[in-house]
Amino acid sequence: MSAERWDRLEALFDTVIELPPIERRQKLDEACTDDPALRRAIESLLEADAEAAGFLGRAAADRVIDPIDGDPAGEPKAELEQDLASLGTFRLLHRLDHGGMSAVYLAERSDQTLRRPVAIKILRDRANGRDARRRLRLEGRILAGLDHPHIAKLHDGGTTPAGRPYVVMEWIEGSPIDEYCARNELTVAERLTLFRKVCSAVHHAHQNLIVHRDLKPSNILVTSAGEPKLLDFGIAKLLGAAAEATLAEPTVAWMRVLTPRYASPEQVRGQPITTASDVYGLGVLLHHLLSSGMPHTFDDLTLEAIADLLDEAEPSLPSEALVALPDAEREKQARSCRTSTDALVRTLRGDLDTIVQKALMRAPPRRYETAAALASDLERWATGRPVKARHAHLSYRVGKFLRRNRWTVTALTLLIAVLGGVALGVGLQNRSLRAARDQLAQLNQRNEQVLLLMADAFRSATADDETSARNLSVFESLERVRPSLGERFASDPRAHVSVLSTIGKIYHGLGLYEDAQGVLSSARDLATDHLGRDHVETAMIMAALGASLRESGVYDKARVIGREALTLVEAGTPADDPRRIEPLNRLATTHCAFGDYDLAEPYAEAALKLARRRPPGASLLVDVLAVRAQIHDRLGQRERAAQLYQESIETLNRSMPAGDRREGTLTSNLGVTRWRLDELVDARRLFARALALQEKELGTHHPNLMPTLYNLSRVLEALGEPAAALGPAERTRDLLRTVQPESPRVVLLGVSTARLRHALGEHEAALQALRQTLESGRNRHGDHPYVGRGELLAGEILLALGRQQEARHALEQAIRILSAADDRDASHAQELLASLAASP
Amino acid sequence: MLIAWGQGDAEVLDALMARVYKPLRRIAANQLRQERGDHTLQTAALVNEAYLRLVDQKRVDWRDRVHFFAVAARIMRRVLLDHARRQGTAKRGGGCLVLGLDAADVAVAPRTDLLELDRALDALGQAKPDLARLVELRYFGGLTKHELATVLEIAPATVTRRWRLARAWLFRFLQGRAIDVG
Repeated sequence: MSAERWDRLEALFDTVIELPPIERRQKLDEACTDDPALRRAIESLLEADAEAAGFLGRAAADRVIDPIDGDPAGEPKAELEQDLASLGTFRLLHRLDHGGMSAVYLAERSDQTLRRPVAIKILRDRANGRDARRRLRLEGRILAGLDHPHIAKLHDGGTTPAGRPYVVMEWIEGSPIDEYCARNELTVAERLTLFRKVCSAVHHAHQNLIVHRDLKPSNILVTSAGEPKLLDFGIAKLLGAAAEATLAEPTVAWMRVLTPRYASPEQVRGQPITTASDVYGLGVLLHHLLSSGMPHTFDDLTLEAIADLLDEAEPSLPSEALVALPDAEREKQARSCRTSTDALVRTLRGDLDTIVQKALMRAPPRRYETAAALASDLERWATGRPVKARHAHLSYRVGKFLRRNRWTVTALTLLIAVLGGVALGVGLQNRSLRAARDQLAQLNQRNEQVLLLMADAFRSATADDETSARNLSVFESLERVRPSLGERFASDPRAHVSVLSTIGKIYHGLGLYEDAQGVLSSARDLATDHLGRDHVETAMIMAALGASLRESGVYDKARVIGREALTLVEAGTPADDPRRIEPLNRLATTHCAFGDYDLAEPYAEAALKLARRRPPGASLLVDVLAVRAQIHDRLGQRERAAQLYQESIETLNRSMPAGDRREGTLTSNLGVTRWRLDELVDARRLFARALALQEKELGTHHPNLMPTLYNLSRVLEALGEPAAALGPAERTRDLLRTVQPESPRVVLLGVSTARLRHALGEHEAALQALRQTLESGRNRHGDHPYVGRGELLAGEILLALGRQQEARHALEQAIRILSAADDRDASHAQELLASLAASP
Repeated sequence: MLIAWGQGDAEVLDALMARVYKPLRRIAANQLRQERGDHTLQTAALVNEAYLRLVDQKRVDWRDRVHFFAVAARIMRRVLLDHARRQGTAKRGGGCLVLGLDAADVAVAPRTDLLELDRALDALGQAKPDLARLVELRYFGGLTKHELATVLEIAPATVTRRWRLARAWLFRFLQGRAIDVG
């Protein structure tokens, strides 16, 4: 491209880049009639501009997101005032409120003889582009049509000459609803009456298709006449529309507008906002008015952390929040409701708790359908009729338990029934045993589907550590029943094979790989004798055996058996038989475990292709997707890997019972892939989520938390948050020290945590911890390169402390150890030592 | 010396480069080892530190500082590339801590592929040198919008538009969809 054409392209790009899309097209139509190639180039660049928003953004460091596009310098206040005054229609009286996003002024209209005070809210950011201004005008008109005794009237709105959006509202003199209730000592019943008026205002707006989006006490004023008035209806959206036009990231724009304490989970996530979001906001408000507490506490949390918290944690009930208050606070709240603390707790506990809980349901459809429905349930409570929330509440709780435990319960009862229906002394009540028998009577004993379902269920529903497996007593019951199986099934060897292979898979699912191998070997021998070596069932058992061998680290044997199993299944089935998926996937997994991703790929790909054509059960599909994703990731196809991980997680969430432990692992792996795609913030979110999931399933001290903890700490470190990184880094080290004290990685993790402390300026503490790490490291591992890296870090810390002599010694140690190991850090140590020698 | 370069003396620039390069390189190496994966994060701090060591702080004025960053940006680019090359073909996931538990992966921090970016930046330099210079200053030198406006003598708003253009072009280039209207 010639310089002249580049200049033309640049000039045109300058012209169109700030236009809205439609005008861009018009402008390009005009400018490029004679030059379609230029037009294509510009269009491609404009698209790339949109896609590349974060690209190179944080590279230059500064830890500021794209300082070029987001200069945070606030406008001086005087500028806002001047801007408003220049409209010529208002006389500003004084400023009422100002925040990061907007300011509010009390003003009088200067063009009217009737001096009615108004409140003007003005946005600091300018609305760029005609599109944004058009949207503002439109929204303003809709809001101006809202007419309700409990809604502050919106008079007018527009944009100032400098392009800042503003709205003119009815000026309300009153106090925030929570202060009003407290100051006037409203009883619970009086509070509810007031609150129901708020609900009626919200409902009226909803019927006009307007969502408030930012319900909170400071937006609900109560006049001296005791009437509530809602302010800022839809203003959040109005201003949000402007903010969206000025900021690259819509969610960020939102969060600058609304108040996280009252925001619904979907709002915090940046997901679509509906009338249900206001119902949630009303729930928070009601909770607060009754208990003076909040359903969640998340002071000082980041947005992501808030979103995760709302996802994970159950909101407190009003009565719980009240009880959790400090004594003085609790008494104060009771006094202000003109009652005693005990009486207030009793009043809240039960139906009022349940009503608030229903309004605060995480999933919008589970909340009250309308604000009016919430109000009428409160009315029912006030008049002593049964509330509707109660019924939904119970079935929700029971349903939740059943969903969580369905597979475990069913599988356990079925298993025990299958194994002979005898009382095995595993704590089952007679009644459940009978129930199990009844269930079984309806099923074909030889129904392999059922048995496989059981195996799957165990795999996914049980935590994969031995202790909890044993706690379930499954292991014990199996142990007890196993010796008698041969006798029991003597007349039916095929059933015997099924049962054995199922037990083997259950052991496998429980992580008891050697037990699994024992049972699966017996199953294979039995199957070979009775069904023949070439039978598909025999081959499937072999594939399971191979997987079990792989898990206990016997790779070579695992590969041979896995390959053989696949060959047999392929020989015994038509080309698109879904039964091929499992052995294909197992073999791919085995190759992966061995690090042979190239060898694994064709099997994984074949498994996925077949699974797409002939979808297997959701559980297997999750595995197939995950294995394929992992191989993509390892072979550098990260985008594809991320897509498949995502799909596997979605499949799992859609079709598997809650609490499947794979969700944590998959989320963690997706985090790694995102990280490799340089999406650090996303990676951090995923690791944090994975950690929460895994902690829920495995507890806080399970060794399987280590990769997630470690990754979380590393990504936080990479994001320049060493203080946040330190906690997870130390947990990783402590876990590894407990589980594998002999591993040299204990040393590496010790060095990492010391480096974080060093980065935080805690040089002395870093040095002390590092010295301990190095001492035990040297004792266990001698001159291991990790010890060398520790010495190197010690040298750096000592340099920072100005202790040059000791630094020199540490660096010499580092060079000696690292050079011997041919570690690339050796040269860094040498450079550091050289610089030390060069300085005076 | 810095002032001399500020007035556009090419020889002085070379001399300055030579003088700046070595200590910068050492500091860079020092920093890079700490966070081998994500070295770009440290760029600004890095250059600042080098600068403070090189220049008598009392005599620094704004223009000098801007010009110094122009040099430093060039040097940083070289330092970082050297480093990337030294790592050579070390696979992207290398150096990670694999705990060998379950199927969960453990990764090392990824690095922006500097070698590819360097290639793209060279290509942009061939087509439109001033855009490449802007990217170098911003990405490697850590200059802010206003600093860029001063050193390039254009309006801050123009910096933003030029940056978006350059970034979009590089983005396409790295996707293998380089834009050329012939």
